[in-house]
Amino acid sequence: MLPILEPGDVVIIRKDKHCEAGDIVVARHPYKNTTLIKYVAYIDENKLVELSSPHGTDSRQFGKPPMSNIIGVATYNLTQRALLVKEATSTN
Amino acid sequence: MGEKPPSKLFGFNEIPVAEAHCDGPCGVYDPASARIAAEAVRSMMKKMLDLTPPEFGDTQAAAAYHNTISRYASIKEEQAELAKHELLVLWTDYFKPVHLEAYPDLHEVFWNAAKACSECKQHVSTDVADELMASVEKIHNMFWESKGREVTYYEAS
Repeated sequence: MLPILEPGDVVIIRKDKHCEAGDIVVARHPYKNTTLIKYVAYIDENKLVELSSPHGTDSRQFGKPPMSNIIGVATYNLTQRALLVKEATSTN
Repeated sequence: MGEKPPSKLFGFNEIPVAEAHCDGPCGVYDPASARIAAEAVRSMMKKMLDLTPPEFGDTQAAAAYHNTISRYASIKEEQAELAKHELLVLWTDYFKPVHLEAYPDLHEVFWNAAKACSECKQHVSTDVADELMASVEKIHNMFWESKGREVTYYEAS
């Protein structure tokens, strides 16, 4: 997901199943044994998450995983020293 | 910070990897995604041609017509580009040199299919859309035959 994520970048995530549209999330692939990092396009009323990747594969190809597949929300790109969220995360 | 930070700092033996682009060397391909986008293109063309042009002088009707047709055109453009992208992914990532033995015209089929996507952007014509659908069907057949599987071609619309 250039330029915000480059191959090999180390990213900090907030372990959290709950995410919102616009978040970058780390999620289990809906049916393959692999982990993804994609944008959340939207979450439907059945808590299925439409994942989006500008030039890569996304929910258009592999469908919408349930929210329980979300591992966490990416907050900071350690390698590029760049925030991945709009505001600083607050502790709830 | 140019190099990877030590994994132990984060409590891992190795930092887990997440796929941002393609979900790994998944090998999951299906020409259906190109077909769906191509069908959407044809559908938008039909919708554009079915709109009734406004009566001369009726500004409200004119505004509504242009608004609607612009939105249809915008979706047609997006879907034609998506169809092109899906077709090109099959061409670049799925099909291999060995497939050229069984399908010597493979490159030409994909070239023409990609051109048909562009034609669909430029024109509002179900004939042009049908040409794209024909290419998509041809690619569907090549694809599943290359996998040794019989998958009946169908259209959703």
